[in-house]
Amino acid sequence: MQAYSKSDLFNKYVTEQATDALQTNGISSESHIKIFAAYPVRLYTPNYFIRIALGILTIIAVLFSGLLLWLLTSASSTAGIITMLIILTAVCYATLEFFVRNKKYYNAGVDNILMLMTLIFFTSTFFVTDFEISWIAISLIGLLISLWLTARFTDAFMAVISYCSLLILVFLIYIKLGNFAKASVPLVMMGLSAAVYFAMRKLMQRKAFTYHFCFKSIALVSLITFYASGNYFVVKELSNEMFNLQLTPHDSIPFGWLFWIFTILIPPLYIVYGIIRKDFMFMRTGLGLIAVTIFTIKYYYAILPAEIEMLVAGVILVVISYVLMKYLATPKYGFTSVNLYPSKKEALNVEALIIAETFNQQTAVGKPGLYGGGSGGGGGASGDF
Amino acid sequence: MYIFPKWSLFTKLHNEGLISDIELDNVIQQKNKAVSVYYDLRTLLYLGIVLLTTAIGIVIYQNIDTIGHTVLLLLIGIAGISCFGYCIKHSKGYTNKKIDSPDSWYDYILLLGCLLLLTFTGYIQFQYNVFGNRWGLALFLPMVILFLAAYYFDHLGVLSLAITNLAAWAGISITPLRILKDNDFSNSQIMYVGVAVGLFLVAMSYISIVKNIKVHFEFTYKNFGAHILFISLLALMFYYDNIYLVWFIALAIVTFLFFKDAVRKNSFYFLVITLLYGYVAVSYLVVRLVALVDFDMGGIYMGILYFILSGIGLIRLFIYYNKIFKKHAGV
Repeated sequence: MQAYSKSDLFNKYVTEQATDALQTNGISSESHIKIFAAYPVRLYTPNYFIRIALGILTIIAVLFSGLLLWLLTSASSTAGIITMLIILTAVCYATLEFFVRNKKYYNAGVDNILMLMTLIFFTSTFFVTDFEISWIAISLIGLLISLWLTARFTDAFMAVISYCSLLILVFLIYIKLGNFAKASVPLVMMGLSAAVYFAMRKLMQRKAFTYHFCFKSIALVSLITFYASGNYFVVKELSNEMFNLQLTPHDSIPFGWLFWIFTILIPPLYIVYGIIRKDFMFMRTGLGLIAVTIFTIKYYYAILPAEIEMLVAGVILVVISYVLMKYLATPKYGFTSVNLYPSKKEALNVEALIIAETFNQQTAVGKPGLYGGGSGGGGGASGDF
Repeated sequence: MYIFPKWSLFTKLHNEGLISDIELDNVIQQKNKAVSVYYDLRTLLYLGIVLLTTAIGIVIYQNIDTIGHTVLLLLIGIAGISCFGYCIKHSKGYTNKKIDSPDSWYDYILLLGCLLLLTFTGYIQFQYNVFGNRWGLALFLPMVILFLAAYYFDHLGVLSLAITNLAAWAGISITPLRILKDNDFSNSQIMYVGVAVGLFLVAMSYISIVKNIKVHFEFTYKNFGAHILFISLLALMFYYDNIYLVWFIALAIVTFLFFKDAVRKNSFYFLVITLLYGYVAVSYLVVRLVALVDFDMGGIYMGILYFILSGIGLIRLFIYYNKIFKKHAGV
């Protein structure tokens, strides 16, 4: 089923682990070289920037090929357009198989885009119809195709798409069961997210190194969807939108208190669990979700003026990070604030760019509104930029 | 953390004689070592400072009539001076070489000091019109201080602030998200300024290498310089309908020089941006030429074929250079 041979994937995995061990001063560079010689990587994964460029150029080539095909056939009927989309799907998938088989492309940019294009072109055929669009059919097809692509090319992005399609599919089918289903659907989605998370955890503990990154990516997204399914804002606004409830911001929803509890409790629980288990995925997800919770509360209850809240939050963040930096300068409870391994040059350059972006100055030409200091909201800095 | 059992893999490598006993022990002991939350705390501190400075800005703006300017200015001034004082006290002094910062706290206190400095100069200009109608001066002075601070304390973030301030002083925006949005590309003067700023920054990156002054600043200068230079030249080519060929030639020369430099230094990043900017220029030229020889659909087909073939061709070119560049050559 896999497009890559098991030994290729295993060698890739071994060398990745070796590079990891080299960076954490576990092994010497001589051993690193020896491991690379003993486990030669035959898969083609170019440099990160080259991958982005290859992805962009693949999009250009595919889109203009589609345009050419459309102009040549001048398809305009429903059947004609569907045929054309299916031809495009077949061409993309065949090209993908060709490159993987003959050139062993593996996350090379080209293969990622071709996978995405295969998925998009094929699901698009379901939008070209004279009947009502069936979202259940679309999410089912999306699920099947992305599952196949995940299984065959061990691609994490496709794995995440298949998980999201599954969520949408279950959601759409379940709400058809009546009013009780409509009210209980958030709990079902939370249950599904949790079930998927535990399944991924089990799978990760097995020696399934080929799909390890797929499982990990799904696990991360399932943590987020677990929170989102119980988030008050999501539950209220989504049911308002989907079931035409016509609620105003002041109206409550059935079991509103329950969703407030979920909204407020889940992020700190993630953080605490992450600290106990030394699991960065939980810790960082929890930190990010705390911000979401704050915005959720602010949306319904404006407690203080925004700038005072920012001031308070800013002071709290600065104080917490200062205290922890000093406290953990010597390792405690298995944590340290010291950068154990030298920062990569890339990380520092990205940080500098983010600083320049967020604290940008207005231009000079006759602008009396010139005002220093920070001018924008927080950058979307993730935990490991 | 659910790590795939590392020890079993490295035991295997050990049995195969690829790693020594000590190395195996190192790897196994790894999981008992403390994990570093350096980047997490740094991110939190950064977010805190963003919130704090933004909030201070808003509070001052709203209460400008009630608190009293002298008090506010005094507070900002004292806070800023204390930040710089802290940094001077903990600084290791100036050298032309790279200085590692004592810790994250130091880095961000310096940043906070610089931001307060910007608020301070903005404020005295806004309120007391110290620099009169010479708005440029209100940006020029902090810019000089920012450059001095960047070099003295060796801080890439402050250098980036200084560079964006330089661009702002010249009248353009230069940060990643604003470079296209905030600049008025229907005003040719802005574009000429962009070319000048770009050339100046590229020259600065060159000087830092040649004179061996803060060599690690090279990337930051060159990165800002390259983008503003390419974008301004492209804008000039689109703008001047009649003499676009002149600007195309200028772009071709700049692309060629950057390309040679990227190949010489094995820089994947500059290879990619140079060739993509160059590709935009060539594609514009091709579309113009195809439109000239328009014979009905023929021209359109030629254009489409050009994009398909050039896309594939450029992919092959990137794959070729990826192969010949050394591995781990950096950005």
